[in-house]
Amino acid sequence: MQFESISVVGLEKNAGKTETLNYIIKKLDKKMGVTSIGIDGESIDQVTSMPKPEIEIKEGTIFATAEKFYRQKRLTAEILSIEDSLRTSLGRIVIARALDRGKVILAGPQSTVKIRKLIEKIKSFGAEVVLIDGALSRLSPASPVITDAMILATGAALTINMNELVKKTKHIVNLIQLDEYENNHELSKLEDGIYIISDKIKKLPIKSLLTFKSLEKHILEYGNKIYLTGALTDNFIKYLNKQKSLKEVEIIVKDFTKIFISPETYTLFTKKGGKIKVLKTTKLIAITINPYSPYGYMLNSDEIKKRLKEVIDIPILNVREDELCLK
Amino acid sequence: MFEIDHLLNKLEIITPLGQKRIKNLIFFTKENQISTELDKIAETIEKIQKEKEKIEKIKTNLMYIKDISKTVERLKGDYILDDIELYEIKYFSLYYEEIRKIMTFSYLKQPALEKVIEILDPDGNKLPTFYIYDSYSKELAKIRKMKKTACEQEKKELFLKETEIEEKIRKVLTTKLKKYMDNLEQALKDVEELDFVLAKAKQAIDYGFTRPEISDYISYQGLFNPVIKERLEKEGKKYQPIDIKLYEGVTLITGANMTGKTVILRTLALSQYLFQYGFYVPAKSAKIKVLKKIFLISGDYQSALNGLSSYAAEMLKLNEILKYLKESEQVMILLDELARNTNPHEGKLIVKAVTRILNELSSISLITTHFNNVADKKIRKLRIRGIKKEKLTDKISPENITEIIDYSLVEEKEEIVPEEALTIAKLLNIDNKLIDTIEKLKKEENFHE
Repeated sequence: MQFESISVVGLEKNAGKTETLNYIIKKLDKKMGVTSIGIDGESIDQVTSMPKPEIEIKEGTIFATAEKFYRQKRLTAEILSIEDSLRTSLGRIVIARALDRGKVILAGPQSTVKIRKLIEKIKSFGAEVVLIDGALSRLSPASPVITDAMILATGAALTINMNELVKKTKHIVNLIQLDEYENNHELSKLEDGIYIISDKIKKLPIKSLLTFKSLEKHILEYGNKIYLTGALTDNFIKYLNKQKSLKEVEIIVKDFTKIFISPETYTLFTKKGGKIKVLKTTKLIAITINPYSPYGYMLNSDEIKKRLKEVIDIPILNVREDELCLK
Repeated sequence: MFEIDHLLNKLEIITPLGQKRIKNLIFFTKENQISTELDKIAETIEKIQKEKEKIEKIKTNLMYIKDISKTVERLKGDYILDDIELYEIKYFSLYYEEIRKIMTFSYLKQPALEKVIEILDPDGNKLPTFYIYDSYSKELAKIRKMKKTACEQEKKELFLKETEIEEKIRKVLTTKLKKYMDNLEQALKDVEELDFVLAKAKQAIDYGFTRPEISDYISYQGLFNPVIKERLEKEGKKYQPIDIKLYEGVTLITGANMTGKTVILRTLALSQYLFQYGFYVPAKSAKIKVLKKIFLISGDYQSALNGLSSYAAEMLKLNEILKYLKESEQVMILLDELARNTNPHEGKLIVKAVTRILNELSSISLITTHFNNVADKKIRKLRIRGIKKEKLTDKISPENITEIIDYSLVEEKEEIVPEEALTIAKLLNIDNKLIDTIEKLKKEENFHE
């Protein structure tokens, strides 16, 4: 694998993100580093009261976590560095090397700048690939600004309705695999704002899409190609969907983590001819599934795999079964 | 004071320990304290000049030093240090030892921390990393080895055992380290001192500061304001340093507008502060008296004290000084155009009265004024030379002002307040009608006299 950093994000709490991480750590035969974005805290999940699995890391792995969790670790490890400039509410970030296999709770800095700094630091201690545990159900660490590639965890936690599960997962995969905009170079230099792209690039007098209705004209009267540095909202696309045809309409965003639209809205938008593109695409390595719902239901994992494979052309793994196979 | 803050900010402090020192700067009032500080700078400047490479090496190692005083503090109680704290002590000691071995400084105690490193580096790897090493205990090594091949259940039990042994070892290590607590505390103080003195010495070299001589009066040759000098030089202009002597009692300074009265006061205050904080001073040579306190009244106070006029604010500040002088003497009082914001008649009386009172005291006072006839013969008077005669035809602009004015001081027997306001107005190219009217009025006034 040619990636130096990989984020592992879940579509929902308990979608199996931690198991996925454990699975990769076990499977990947590389000098590895691992940390988390933000604090994913308690060893008992406060929402569902399910015990939250700690990350199991293997000998030689470089890991970074907050002081408090370092003290609670259940493995032998050698402290390599304490980062005074990377602080969390649970103390400074400690970088250490695992001297045997064992469990630890991960915590890392929240901000993009700091997590990138930490990734570099972990690499400097010899890690060839750094895994980032995404916090909660947020997709933001999968932004190509932070990590080179991502792994997506989905499963019964999202919904126990099989059709819904496939639809929601497929939708996110669609967004992740959006095409890159051709002239992304000139757009990436622009400061925050909303722009119309025609022969020239023109900045609109609004700061975000929250106020697009305050424009004098309908936004499409300014031009059909819109680039926005901030979030793309469901409301905005719904508003555009009122048009008969959106054939020439193209919306460009920084990357898929900026898109917050529902599957239905997106489907209608594309049906009418609208397109969404990104400045930078995200490399999706694999999708993992967890058939167990935190409320006790279980879906048929073969069925999920089969249904997802019909619509998604990416490796799909059941980390629990594979774990069983390994024993 | 702005200039002092500026200079302190520019000090090239490397460690958080040195930063702490800047925040707790001491204003020394004893001669021996100040000369001790100056000796340290002198020694360090010599080393910077003679042993460049070694000093650079020290600085590189200082970059790794962290403030572990809280961790060292914990050694005092019954607390058992955890891995993170043990790591911090080892890390500090390794870099501290690097620095200690490079060079000795007479003003540092430089206790050895080799034993501390030995305790925390049983394998002698000299690496800035830490864990409870296998070599601390044969049993620990054995358990860890077994743990690697054990099944899950066994592993859990072994881990508990391992934790138990580790905790015992931490207790032993903490006890051993207690013996070196004083050394660790001294080492922290040494690093703080070294970082601070290195920065002071570097600044003295960079800015061309000099070591002041301790004296019972004040005398500067080539006194300059480093902040203004730096700014002027950036604009390609020259700064004119001045010579000045000050004795007990009052010295009055007169000079036209723009001739640098305020700068003289601020520079004297700055230099006095630096001296009493144990720094070199901005001059070619300097003799300075150790004083108890510095008072500087300069600038418009209206904005500083809400609701008060600048006159009222100035009076309150003056009152504070007079009150202080009742308790203590030997202070420096610098008053910039006292009472300038009230009517000239009473303003003059205020300056006269303040001059009279301050001249009786064994403090050093310097007052700038535009008023005429405020001092009798006993009061020492200095005048800023001001506009150069040959430059009278030039037009003044912010670009050439430093070339037109001679900032040096002359001692005067008689009180001469230069009436150059009109001259300067002309040089500034102010509206002709205004200038003409003023000249007309002036002629009428002379005629009536």
